Amino acid sequence: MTAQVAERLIYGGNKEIGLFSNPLSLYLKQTGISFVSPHTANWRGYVGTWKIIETTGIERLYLVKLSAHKSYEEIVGVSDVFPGFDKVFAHWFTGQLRCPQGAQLEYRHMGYGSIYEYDLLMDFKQGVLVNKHARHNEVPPKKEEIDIPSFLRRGQ
Amino acid sequence: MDALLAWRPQTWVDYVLLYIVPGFGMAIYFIAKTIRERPSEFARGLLNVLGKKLTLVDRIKDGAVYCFALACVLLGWPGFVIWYFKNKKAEVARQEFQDRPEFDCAPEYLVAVVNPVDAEITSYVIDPLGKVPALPFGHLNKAWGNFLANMLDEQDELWSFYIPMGSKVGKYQRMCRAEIRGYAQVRDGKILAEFITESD
Repeated sequence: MTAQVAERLIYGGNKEIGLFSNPLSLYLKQTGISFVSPHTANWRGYVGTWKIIETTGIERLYLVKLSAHKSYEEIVGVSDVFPGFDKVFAHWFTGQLRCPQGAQLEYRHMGYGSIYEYDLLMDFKQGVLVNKHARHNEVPPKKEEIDIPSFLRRGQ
Repeated sequence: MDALLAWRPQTWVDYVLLYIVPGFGMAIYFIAKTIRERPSEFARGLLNVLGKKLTLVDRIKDGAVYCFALACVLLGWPGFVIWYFKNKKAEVARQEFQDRPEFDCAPEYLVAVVNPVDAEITSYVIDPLGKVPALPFGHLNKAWGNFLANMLDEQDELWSFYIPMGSKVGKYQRMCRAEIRGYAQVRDGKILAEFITESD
């Protein structure tokens, strides 16, 4: 599986950072909406831009922009998927968002598998930010031939 | 015909002959199956063009293999019968697993029976920016409506469920990375549908 294009997150200013989580997936699953994959680096068929907005001391997660492939050529936005809304409060999202930061330590040709120096981890409860912390990642140890099951090893 | 029906095994040879009768039937079945599935004339022609024509040695080898297989079937037919039924059973179990719906909720995660009206009353979402419709379950209202629309049977019960983080969920028992909450349609203790209100 090809490495997948990340979602975007705006947090603490207007700078966009990569987001290795898909908060929209539950909504799409529940409503039965699906998009067309435009290329192998975007199997889910959309890229959402999310923003954490603070009101009355509470930080909430909003979907502010969407570029979703209804067909290969036709791209729809937030107001097409959520009629009457230019941005959407992600009240269904309970879980952790992972934003990779710093240099890429290892590239993995799969999903959101690449490893970066830091991960900014943010915990949400019903779309409300409840906790955040950073995780420092190490360069993963190189795998030796012996660590790989014999049937997967390269031929001599 | 009467002579055949009146026949009773008397020597050990008779008993052996009696034993291999089902094996003989099975061998006939396998031979017919092999003949039916043999390569078509077109495929044989293609193999000839590719230089993969069967030589005399290949035919002798094939013949030896068929003789050996025939002997195995004649003598070991009970083993084939057992294998056939075991295989059939495993196939049915595989099909049942494939047909099973992919729900996160399982009976152990059900919390309590709830009234749909009560569920709706507690489901309104507060957002100071007004980016949620003022409907039960906010943006998930349409999905909720579809979920309720399928609860037509009088026996159907609406249950709330809660799945703690780290639990194994779904048909493939994947580990959930966040807690999951929602409602399930339950009939006779069996989960028929689920509506997830929060998850990652």
